Amino acid sequence: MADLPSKTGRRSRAEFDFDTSDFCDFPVTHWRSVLPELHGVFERAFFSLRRHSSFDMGAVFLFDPEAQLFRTAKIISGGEMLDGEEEMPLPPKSPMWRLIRRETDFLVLGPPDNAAFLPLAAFGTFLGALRVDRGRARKPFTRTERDFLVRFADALSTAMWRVNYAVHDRLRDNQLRTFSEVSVLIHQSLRLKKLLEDVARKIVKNLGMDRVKIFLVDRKRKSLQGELGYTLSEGLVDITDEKYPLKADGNPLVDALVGNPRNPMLTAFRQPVRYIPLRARNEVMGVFMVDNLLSQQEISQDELRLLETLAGQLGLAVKNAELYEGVEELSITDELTRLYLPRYFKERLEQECQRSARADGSFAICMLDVDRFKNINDTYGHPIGDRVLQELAKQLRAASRQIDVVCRYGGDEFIILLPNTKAEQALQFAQRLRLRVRDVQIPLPHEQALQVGVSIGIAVYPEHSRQAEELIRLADTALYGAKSGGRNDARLYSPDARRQAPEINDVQPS
Amino acid sequence: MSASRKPVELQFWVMPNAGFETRHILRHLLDRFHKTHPNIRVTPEVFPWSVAWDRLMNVIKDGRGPLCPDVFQIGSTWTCTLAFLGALRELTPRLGEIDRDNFIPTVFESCYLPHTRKLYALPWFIDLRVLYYRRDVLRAAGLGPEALETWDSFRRSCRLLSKKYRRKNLYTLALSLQKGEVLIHDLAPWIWGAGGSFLTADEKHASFHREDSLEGLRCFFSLMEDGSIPLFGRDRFSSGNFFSGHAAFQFSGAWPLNSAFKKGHPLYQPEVAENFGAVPFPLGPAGRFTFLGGSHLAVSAMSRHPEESWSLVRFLSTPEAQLNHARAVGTLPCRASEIPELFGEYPDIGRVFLESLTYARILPQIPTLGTVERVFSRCAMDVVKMIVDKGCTPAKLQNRMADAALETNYILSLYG
Repeated sequence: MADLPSKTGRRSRAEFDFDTSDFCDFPVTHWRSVLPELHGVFERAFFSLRRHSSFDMGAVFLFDPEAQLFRTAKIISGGEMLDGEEEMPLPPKSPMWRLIRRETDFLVLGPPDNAAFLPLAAFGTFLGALRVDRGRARKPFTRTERDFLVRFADALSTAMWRVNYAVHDRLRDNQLRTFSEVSVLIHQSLRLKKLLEDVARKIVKNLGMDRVKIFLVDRKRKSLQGELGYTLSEGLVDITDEKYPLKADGNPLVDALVGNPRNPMLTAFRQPVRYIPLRARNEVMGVFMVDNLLSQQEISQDELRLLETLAGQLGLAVKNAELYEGVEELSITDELTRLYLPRYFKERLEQECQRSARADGSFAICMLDVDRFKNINDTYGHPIGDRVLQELAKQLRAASRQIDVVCRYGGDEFIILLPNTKAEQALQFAQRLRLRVRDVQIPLPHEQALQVGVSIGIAVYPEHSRQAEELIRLADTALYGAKSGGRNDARLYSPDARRQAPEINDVQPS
Repeated sequence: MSASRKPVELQFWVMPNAGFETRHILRHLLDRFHKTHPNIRVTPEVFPWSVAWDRLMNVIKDGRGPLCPDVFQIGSTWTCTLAFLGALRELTPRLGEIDRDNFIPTVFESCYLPHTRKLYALPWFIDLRVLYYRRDVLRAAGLGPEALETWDSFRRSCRLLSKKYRRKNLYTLALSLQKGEVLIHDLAPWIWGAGGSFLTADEKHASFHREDSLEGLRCFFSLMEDGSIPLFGRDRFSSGNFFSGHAAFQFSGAWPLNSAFKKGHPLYQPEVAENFGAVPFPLGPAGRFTFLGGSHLAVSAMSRHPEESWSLVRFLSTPEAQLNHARAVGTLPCRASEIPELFGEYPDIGRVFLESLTYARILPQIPTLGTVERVFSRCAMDVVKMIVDKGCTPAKLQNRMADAALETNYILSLYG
């Protein structure tokens, strides 16, 4: 490691000329924080100072106006650049206090007057102080040296101001752009999932966060459900396996929502991790977690305010999407049973035909109706008939998988689409369903109960047909066969299934 | 693969490895590279350690810019995290172009992303801590190098010297202080030597707050409490060190052959150059350990000139370039076979470094190592402040470490 040159003897004024472009033109390349950029300026400035002078120690102090203290940002000593973040308080009336108040622009301390302090200020703003020592020479500064240092401090101040301005300008510009882009997304998007993806991406890419995770409240299950995440390294990530019950139990996401201030996670890591509830008026719709944990970068107050604003907008968007999805749900479901309507079923059936054709897969449809339903209506009246249909719908939903599509096809006829299902599996499902329904006791007035049976017909893609309409017709034929064979039965389609159904009245109160 | 012949300018970010001489040394070292690669011009930019992490993070987050670095120096403990964040270009396909078997194996291991065999950096120079001492100072106190053999005898010697030289402008023990603060590098040998560890065996939880680790930490911080490591202000250490003649001992991985030990150099201190010795890190209750770290070279994932950048990294990683750089900067190269050559006139010191390699450990290789290191260093500096304020009790040390463990566990739970 080399030392600063120890130049001695008389020095001409020309030796104290210096080219400020080295550090004044320092290119500001990144915008997230000022200090790393300032260090580029300091390094070049001290390099320049070293070429032109005999000072062997120097330091830059940055002024913190809120805390009213100096923070050491850079020290050079013995040819080495040292990092340091010492805090230096500023008692009133102290020499450094006078410097801040600009009562002097050149302060000399320490016998034999070999440590000079100069203010760093630009456009009326006090930025910090420059300290230059001449420890070895141990003699006062000459007039020429003094002039040189004042000019040097002025140039350094301008360079610091420029960096400050450039970084803050970029930061502000970026925040405004993010706000505007997210607002547009919120007003244009109808699909919630896509909106959440886009917003998460903007927060990571535009605001420079390490990661965002979005959770929504699942009111039916009383839980917080992970929707999606977006990270700096992986992009979009699936977090749908993350579910937390909505009760204060130490999980910071839930505690942030239910307002449990005792959770240490909510306070201990506030700098790099924030949990921001998504609200629509007074209703909590979810929460998003934003973190800079890996990069250990602070989430600034400005960024936090912007994130809270975005969370407010997103909360409303989630609420709107919920309402929209509710309306959409109403338009495709039957009012009595809450099962899908035939129009929706046919759409899904067409899609399934196309998907199975592409994937060389198979699926089944089961058509069923209630045995002797007309007799039920005639015997017990329509309200009881409706109860039977509602109970049957409940059993169909419970027996089906999430991917199955259960539909009220009309009157007492139901139809179920079973994706990724072969003939044998469909028949087993239908038998299980039939037995399940048969075991249900539907309460009647006067403590009586009713048992009903169902008949089920099954058609399978591609075994029986590759056409949607044809499959429905063949399932209906198989259903007819089940009825003809004595009812309370499930049958796969076969070409000879169509027979005359016998007239047997088997609806009995139990 | 050959680099294109179009003129290319590479941005090369380094730390001030040799203070203000860094640019000058690099320019000189790169002369040969420029001659063999006339179409490539390398521009070094020097940033201190304290802001290097933030600058790299800003690059990762800001994406490609006209002045994004193409090649950068990174702390060996940062490699995992930067690779995990996608900041580094994978170098696994280049493995066939280098003599990987000659690198110190544990150092080379720290260039991989944990739990994968994906390579993201090449070692540039190492930081292997030994204990430098002044023979004349020990002798004057009636001691010999054997007084530095164990933790107990070392601490007794420190206390003796602190008392003897209190007013004579000679500190007892200087820290390495490359980064101006107490680092995980300084504390690791004490934790390991006491039988402690940083993480549990499954690497899912912190363990540096447990009793065995705390014993090592107490031992280290007692050196500050008894004045052996001088403190100036709440978070400032002496800028003087062993090689400048300000301290009797220093745990260091430096070998400033061309400055502090070279007659006529401004940093040359005859009393140091004529009286220095080195011994391995003192033996702790659970064994002898020392820290092995250093700096790697990596190609930025954002570089628009990956071929040329790799050419530069490969050039700087050749045995000759590493040896020249180590000599000029005052560090150690990454191949054990080069250490005897570097220590030519000082074979005894070279042997101490080679012996120390057998005790050396790297930190647990987890994707979040760079982050956990920062958490730990922040905590260590808080303890230093407590010591300066005379408020560091064993209970407070334990509590502060428990807080750092909580934060570490949180990071590990979220990122692994």
